[in-house]
Amino acid sequence: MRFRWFTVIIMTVLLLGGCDAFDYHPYSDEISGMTDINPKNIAIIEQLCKGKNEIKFAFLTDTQRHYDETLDAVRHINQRDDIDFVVNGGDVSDFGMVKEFLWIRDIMNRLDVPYITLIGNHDCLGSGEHTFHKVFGSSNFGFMAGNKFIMGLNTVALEYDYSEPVPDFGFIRNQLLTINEWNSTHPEQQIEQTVVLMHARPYNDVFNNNVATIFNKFVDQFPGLTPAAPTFDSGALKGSKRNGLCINGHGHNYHVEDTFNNGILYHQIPNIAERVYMVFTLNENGYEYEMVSF
Amino acid sequence: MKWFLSNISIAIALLLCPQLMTAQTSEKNSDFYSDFTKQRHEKWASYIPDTFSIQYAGGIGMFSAGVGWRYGQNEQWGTYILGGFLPKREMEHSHVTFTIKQQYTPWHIPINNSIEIEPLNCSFFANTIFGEEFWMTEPDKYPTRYYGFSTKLRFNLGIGQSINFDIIPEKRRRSRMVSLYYELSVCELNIVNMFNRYIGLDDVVCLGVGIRYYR
Repeated sequence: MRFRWFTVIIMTVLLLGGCDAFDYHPYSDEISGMTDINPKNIAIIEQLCKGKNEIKFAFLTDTQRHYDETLDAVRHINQRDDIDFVVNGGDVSDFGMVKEFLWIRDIMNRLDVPYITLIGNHDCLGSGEHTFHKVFGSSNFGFMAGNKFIMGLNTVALEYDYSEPVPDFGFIRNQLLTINEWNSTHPEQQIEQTVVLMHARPYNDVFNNNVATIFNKFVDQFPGLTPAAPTFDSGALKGSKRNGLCINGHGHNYHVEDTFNNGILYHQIPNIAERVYMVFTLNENGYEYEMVSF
Repeated sequence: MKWFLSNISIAIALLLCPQLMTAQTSEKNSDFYSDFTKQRHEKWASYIPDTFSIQYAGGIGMFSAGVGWRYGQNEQWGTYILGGFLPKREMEHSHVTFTIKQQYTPWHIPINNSIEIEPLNCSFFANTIFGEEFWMTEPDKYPTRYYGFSTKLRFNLGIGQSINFDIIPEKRRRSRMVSLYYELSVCELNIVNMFNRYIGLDDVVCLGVGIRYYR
């Protein structure tokens, strides 16, 4: 009798061992599946956009705990075939727990096009920052999409206590040097436009506002972001070639401002719970944008 | 006032040091001392833990171990304290955790002389994780109630079952009974995560198995 019970228990344990419900801790669950997504997807984007002069990307943000809305957005984006890549603007998770990152990753992986992910302040909670780096890769990245330069920056300084430079001016400077070198050696395919992506914009509560103007001084040296007479008209859907483009999330509502009065517009995208994402088209005339409700 | 204070202090001294009193009367009445000592030992002996358990997973560490007490008329209550260890694995550092668990077991069903089943164990447990990246209350750098939760402290609800094997008296060495148990639990943050269609209970539930020795 005892032997039989023992067998039953062993069988049960073996069966249970097959399922992945054995969790050690919310902040240390196993990271199964795809990791290091940003570098992988950036390589795909650079390949897909090679030689293109018009780039179209969707920006959705603050997906924290809004799994249904994120999934609907992914399905909606999959229905159209004009998007080159998608940006998740950060606050992927709400509590920084490993599973939250993986749930959103698995939803975003359903996209037919590659996507990149920015780090948000919520993603730094607990062991979240480490999980973000494992799953998505570096929180600062720059790449070429056709003849446009896309730079994603970690701007959630409030989470770092000076342990890391946020924003990382060393990184930004290196990107600038890379672009200048590229432009001096590739006269036939100049980078003329730059888009800076970040979770929180300057003068936001999590930005290091002591360096907000210095941040602007670095950003406005990039191609397409150099100062010009501001011509923005809130009613117009078209920006001019000289109007710089920075995109951020974090604020949970749509807001656009010329923060430093130099023509660089900071577009703040509503969170995904509003069932909205935005599509930006970069072309020879500058950029166009539309807000898409789903 | 002085008179009052001195009386109070004598009274407290007498209350706190009954040995003083017994020492004075030990020659006359040695039984009082031995009775008292016996009583005191029995009293403290009731606080010796009844169980020792080792658990794998369950949201409180990779492995955790600790002691516990079973009490109540039908041993329906159990209180357990467990220290857990999280290896480095996917994390930046390894971590130590501490858990206090309260369990309610409404039924004990004997199968035969030596086997008993607890068909339902309901538990509530709080777990803390040690490490500088986890805080109990938000550090001062944040605006008031910025996040509104603690990354260090998790509250969990769990249900499980266990099967208890009596060890026949001749074969007992350190324990009289061995219990195998499992527990499905969910932490409060994951309950919050379930408020949508995409995430179901099966996504958030967390399994732990363990072995428990009874004194």
